[in-house]
Amino acid sequence: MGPIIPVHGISEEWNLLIAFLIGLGFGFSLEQAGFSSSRKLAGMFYGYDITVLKVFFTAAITAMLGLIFLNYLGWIDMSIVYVNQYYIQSAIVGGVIMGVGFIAGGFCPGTSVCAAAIGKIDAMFFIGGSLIGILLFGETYSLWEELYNKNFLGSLKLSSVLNMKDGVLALIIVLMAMVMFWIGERAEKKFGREDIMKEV
Amino acid sequence: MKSRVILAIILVSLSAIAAILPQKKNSALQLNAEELLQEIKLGTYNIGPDQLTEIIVNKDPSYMLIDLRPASEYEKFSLPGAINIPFDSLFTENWIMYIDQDLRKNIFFTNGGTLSSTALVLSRQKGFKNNFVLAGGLNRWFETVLNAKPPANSVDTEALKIYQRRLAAQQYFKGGEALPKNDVQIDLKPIPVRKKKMVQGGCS
Repeated sequence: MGPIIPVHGISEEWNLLIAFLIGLGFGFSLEQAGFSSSRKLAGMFYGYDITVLKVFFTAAITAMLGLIFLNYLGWIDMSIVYVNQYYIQSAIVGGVIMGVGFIAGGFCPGTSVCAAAIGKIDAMFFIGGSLIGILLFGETYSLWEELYNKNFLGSLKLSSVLNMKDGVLALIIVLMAMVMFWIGERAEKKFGREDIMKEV
Repeated sequence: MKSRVILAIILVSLSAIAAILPQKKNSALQLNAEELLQEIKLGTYNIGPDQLTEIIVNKDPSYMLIDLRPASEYEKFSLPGAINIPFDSLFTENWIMYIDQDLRKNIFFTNGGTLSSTALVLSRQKGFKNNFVLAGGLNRWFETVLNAKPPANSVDTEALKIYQRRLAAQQYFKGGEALPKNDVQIDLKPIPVRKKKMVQGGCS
């Protein structure tokens, strides 16, 4: 059995088309999950709505389990699956900027595009802000270059750092997710904001 | 039971199974033994001596000649335009970008054909494309091109053409030395000059 999609047999154009279709599906799912509402998204930080956590974490663990089983069946070669590269400082600074932007703007980059697509003006401003940020970063890149490239650790996998089998780590993460969801739902009850959520 | 509880149970039990399953490594890009054997049998990645000659003479930029012999031998002699990547450092950091690339076709060569074929098999196994091998190595190339012998049956025009091309290639590689000696030998015996006889008779 070979890979599900023969990556090397597909031309660049087909690749882009497939990416476009997957993107459409992703946007549609986000919109259906109610992620085009900044109130729902910000609810994650105030504890009155943890849909964001549940949806994204469920997606992650589903994909994780899917990959593990596909790998076991020989349908996917994990050695050529792209793993995000890890720069310690960049990850921390970027995470903080992303978090602040998320609370202040009420969107994350993906959901802002989603919300702009259904005509939300605040999301359009958010996208404008992101683009200005990208431009500024690009123009002043030489100032950040050192920090940006500091402590590059390559494509790290948590399981290899912890010296653990992928499957065992997956089990731990799934259990963690279940505990988080349980705590999150209790928080939802405690911090519930009916006034806000009614409009969503 | 609530659907979310069922979902949670499914997820947890699936991950428990995943935890029990043995770790497996797949390699979609690597060839298995049968596929490799098939490729070797077909000679898909062989470049013949005459083809190599044409590539060198035409200075074909789509090919890169890679000499896999040790540096000492490379310094003594190598093919024109060839770079030296000793066999033992073939997949090291310094050279891997020459072997794993999409720009040019590499032709591996050594004196014989064994080591270069091994290099080809290894690179194919790693999933690298665009690597070829000089069939028979430098030795066969010398034998067939630089020391080409006239075809036994001169009626075979095709063989004759190949021979003529090889002779031309010899001139390219060796210059004037390549010209067959017996063709240009000039008989330098003095031409006897006949003595002029006095004109006799007539109306002088």
